[in-house]
Amino acid sequence: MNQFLAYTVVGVVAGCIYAITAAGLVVTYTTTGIFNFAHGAVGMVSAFAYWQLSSADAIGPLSFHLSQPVAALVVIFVMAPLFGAAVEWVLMRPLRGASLDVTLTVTLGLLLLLLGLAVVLWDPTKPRIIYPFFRGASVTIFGVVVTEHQLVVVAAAAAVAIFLRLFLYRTRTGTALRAVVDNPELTALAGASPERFGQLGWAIGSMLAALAGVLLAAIVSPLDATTLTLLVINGFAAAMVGRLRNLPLTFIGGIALGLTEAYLVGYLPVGAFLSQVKPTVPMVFLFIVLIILPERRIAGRTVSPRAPRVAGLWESLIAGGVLVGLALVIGPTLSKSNLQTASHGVVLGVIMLSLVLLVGYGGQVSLCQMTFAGLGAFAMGQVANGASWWGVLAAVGLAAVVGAIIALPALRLRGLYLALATLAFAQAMDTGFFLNEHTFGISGSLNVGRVQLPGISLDSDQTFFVFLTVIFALVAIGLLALRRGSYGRRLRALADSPAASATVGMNLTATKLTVFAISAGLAGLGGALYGQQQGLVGEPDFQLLLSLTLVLLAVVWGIRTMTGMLVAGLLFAFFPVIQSHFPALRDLLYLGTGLAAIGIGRNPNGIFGGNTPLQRRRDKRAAQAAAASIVVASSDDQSEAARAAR
Amino acid sequence: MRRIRFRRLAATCVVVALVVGLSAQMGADAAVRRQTNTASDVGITPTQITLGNVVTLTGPIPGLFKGSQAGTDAYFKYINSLGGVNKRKLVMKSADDALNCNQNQTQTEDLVGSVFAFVGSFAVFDNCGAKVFAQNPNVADVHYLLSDDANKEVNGFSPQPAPPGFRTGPYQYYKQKYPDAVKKVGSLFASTSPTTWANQKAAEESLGYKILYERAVAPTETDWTTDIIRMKNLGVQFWDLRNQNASFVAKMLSEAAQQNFHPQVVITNSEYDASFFKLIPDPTAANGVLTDQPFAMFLGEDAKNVPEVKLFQTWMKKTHSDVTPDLFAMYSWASAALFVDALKAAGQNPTRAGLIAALKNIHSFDDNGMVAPADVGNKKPPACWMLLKVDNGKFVRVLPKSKGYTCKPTGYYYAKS
Repeated sequence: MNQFLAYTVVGVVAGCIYAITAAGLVVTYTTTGIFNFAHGAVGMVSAFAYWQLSSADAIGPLSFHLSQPVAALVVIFVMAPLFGAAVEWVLMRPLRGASLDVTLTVTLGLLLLLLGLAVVLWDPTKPRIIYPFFRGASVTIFGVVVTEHQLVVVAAAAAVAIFLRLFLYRTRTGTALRAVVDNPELTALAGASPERFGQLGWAIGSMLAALAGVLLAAIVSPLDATTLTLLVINGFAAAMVGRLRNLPLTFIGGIALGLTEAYLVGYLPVGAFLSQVKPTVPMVFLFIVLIILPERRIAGRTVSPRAPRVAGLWESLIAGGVLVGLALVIGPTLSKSNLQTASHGVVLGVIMLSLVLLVGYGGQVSLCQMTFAGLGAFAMGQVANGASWWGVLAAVGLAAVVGAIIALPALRLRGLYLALATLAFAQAMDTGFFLNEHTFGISGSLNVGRVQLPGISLDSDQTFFVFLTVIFALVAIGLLALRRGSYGRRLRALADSPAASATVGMNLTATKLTVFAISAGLAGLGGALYGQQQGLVGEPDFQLLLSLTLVLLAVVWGIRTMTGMLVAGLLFAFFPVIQSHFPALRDLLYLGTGLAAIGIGRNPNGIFGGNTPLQRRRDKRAAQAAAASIVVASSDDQSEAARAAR
Repeated sequence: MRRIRFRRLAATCVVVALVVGLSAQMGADAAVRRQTNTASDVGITPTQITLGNVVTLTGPIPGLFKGSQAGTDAYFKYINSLGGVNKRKLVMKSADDALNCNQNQTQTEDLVGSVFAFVGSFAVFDNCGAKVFAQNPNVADVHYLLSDDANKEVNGFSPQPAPPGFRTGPYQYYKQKYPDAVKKVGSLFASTSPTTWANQKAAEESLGYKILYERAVAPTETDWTTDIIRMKNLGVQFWDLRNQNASFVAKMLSEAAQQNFHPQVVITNSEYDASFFKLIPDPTAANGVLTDQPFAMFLGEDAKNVPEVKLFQTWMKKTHSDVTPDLFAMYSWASAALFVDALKAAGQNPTRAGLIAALKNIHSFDDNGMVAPADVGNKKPPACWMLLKVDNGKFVRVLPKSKGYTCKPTGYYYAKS
């Protein structure tokens, strides 16, 4: 019994940390209607700012050597709200009314940008220590020693939940804040300024992120940008228990998550499963919560950007031929290392093509494509010593089957919930599968050989590069053919209006299942090629942050375009090469991708997504023709009506 | 007749003298040529030798092996200050793999055609670069080989070879000294390196240790109170904290002290770090923690007794005052020293093949006491080690007391691949 009580105390303390991170997410969502994926990153930057203001070791701007409590107050009540208000003004205000894809991309972009900025501003090789409040002081509860800093966390979590609930539901300002999200036009008619309240919402959300960052700083110390940012992802599960609206339920969700972790680690038998369980629990918890949430009605029409024109068969065949021809011409001129990097880029392009089908055409958000690629690479490496066409088949098959299985519970999810479910899946697979010593072998990396074509050896990097571009071209041509056909129209309908699609008798379940399976299979094929190109694969190749970066780059370059995927893949591959010329920027991949992604609000179709002058002229001509036909039709109708009247 | 004989004799003498003189001159010329530096192979000129180096400097964990680059550079600058090797300056061409497998491979590929050898690289993805070395077996790769693939390189040489497995000498010592505690082992190991723990665990179990509790810890975890309560209840007396980074060790020790968990023995291999006592709010929480390691106390404690440690400290400060000397810097310094030893042995105008032959011929390398002696040529791990403990905010030598390493007991558990 004593042991049970001890684990309970541990669980409640951990749960309060989850609750406090989740509360900020809920408040931002309640007051702005936007799920802020960058919430953890704002908390992380706040923790670094807190160190900068208070530490005796800090040098440079803002190193005022304030006492810790004063620094905490400055960060939470001055810097964070200003930052939140600025983010709303610069980034979020132009997104009012934008689709979920756009807001999701921008907040994910902000996350990567802040991560990249943090490592530029605070050299990660220097340890930055933050000591807890009331250092050394503690109390004993049921045999467990709890520090006073932990008690502060518990008190803060409870106070935040109670205070915010009262503020949002018992005050005029709070009611106005919520009203702005529900109906900004109506609220404006009542005299409230949607912009001002939106800004207030972001300011409060940032304050809560900063509060979490400051309190977590001493727990994470020495400060680490990635750990601080990812810690908040664990809070997503708690936020979902409260359905992103209900703070008391969010608090209960946090505690439930903390207790689940403590009891599992405390009581599960010692062994491999115990090792996997703790880091996986928050993600499995999130997945389960998403699935068992009360079902929402099928979404109606969504605002999605105008799709670019789909190339015809001959056009795509010619483009594919040109691409392969270019590979044949350019390949021999590249140095061996550039050839390898270009091959890597084409492989990433193939993986990104899987996003075109799922996200671009089907409107289903996925943040786990590198996980499917990892499954493909794993299958490729395991079957027939890793250099067989059976391996390629196994790669596609395994990824497709897992994709379909993931689609099953996700069938009733879309938008944000689907994004969170796929994120949870990616993170759980990383900690539970890819990091398992049996997956990539005792050395942590799995050797993958190259397949051979009849009469053609693919051992030479040059030939393999051409082979990869042929695969890319074939997949792209296939996807375009799919898009032009009835299945493509069904996908478009699914993306535009699931409710309307269901009304006209379309089988949403079959369409969703197949699109998930095909997309995952394509990513699996990409994974098999990834392994063949690199020669070996391991866990670091398939981490969650890579999946996020991949999606963002795909959106930035035009997620419905084949050219966009090729360019995005090549850029992703050449980032480290570019990085080597700018060592001071330390993490150009995150900085560059983040910066580009937050600019997507101004161009939701992406760079190749239909904004070229030629396409604009075509669109204009098409619009004029459509308008003219409407006028003609309308005048015909009027004449008909007049005749009927006579 | 006699006159004719005399003339013949005289002519013969003149010819002999000429032949002897000519030969002597030719020999002298050859000797002079031998003493002259030539561009004897790729990356070598009469005045300098260019060496490659691939390190992780940017990417998801920026600055991960910054110390390693500094360590190699510091050693080369030290050698250059002495006039170089055979009057050739050592020049380092460094590349960053950005913690990316493909980039590691391509950077290695880029350098392999222009450098004489690779020295002091440090990268998690050295298995990716290993593919390039397999295709270029005449290019030596001298660095602390991390991955299994890199360890298998025929042209790869580590100052301390570490084949898959784990040294058992220290574990035998602990068993002799704490026979009861080793029957009650608990471990919290890093989830990112399950292989290391698997080898370590196998090594422990091969000696009769009994593992009561083990759990992989993810890099994002911040609290281990449940584990500590559980280990306390299970009666764990030997807490193996090897295979964790210094900040996690500091946090785990603090939590253990907070929960009054005081096992008889706590061992680790990562607390010996310049930042350790900054990381742990109450340094006494680490009192008595043991670290066995196959290298000297390079942070400075051994500087009096091991001149190489003093040299390392001096040149790190002189050339990279912004970089705190760490394990990676020390190993890369030792790698550079190993390379220079082999380069000297390879002759005045060394070739790539000559360098590899010289490296294969080194059977006891210890960098003047900086690392425990190892048979580099035969790729055998060091048999000796030293033991230190934490004592009120200081690292103190336990075994051997003054300097050097102990080789008794010794042993190595080789993992089945």
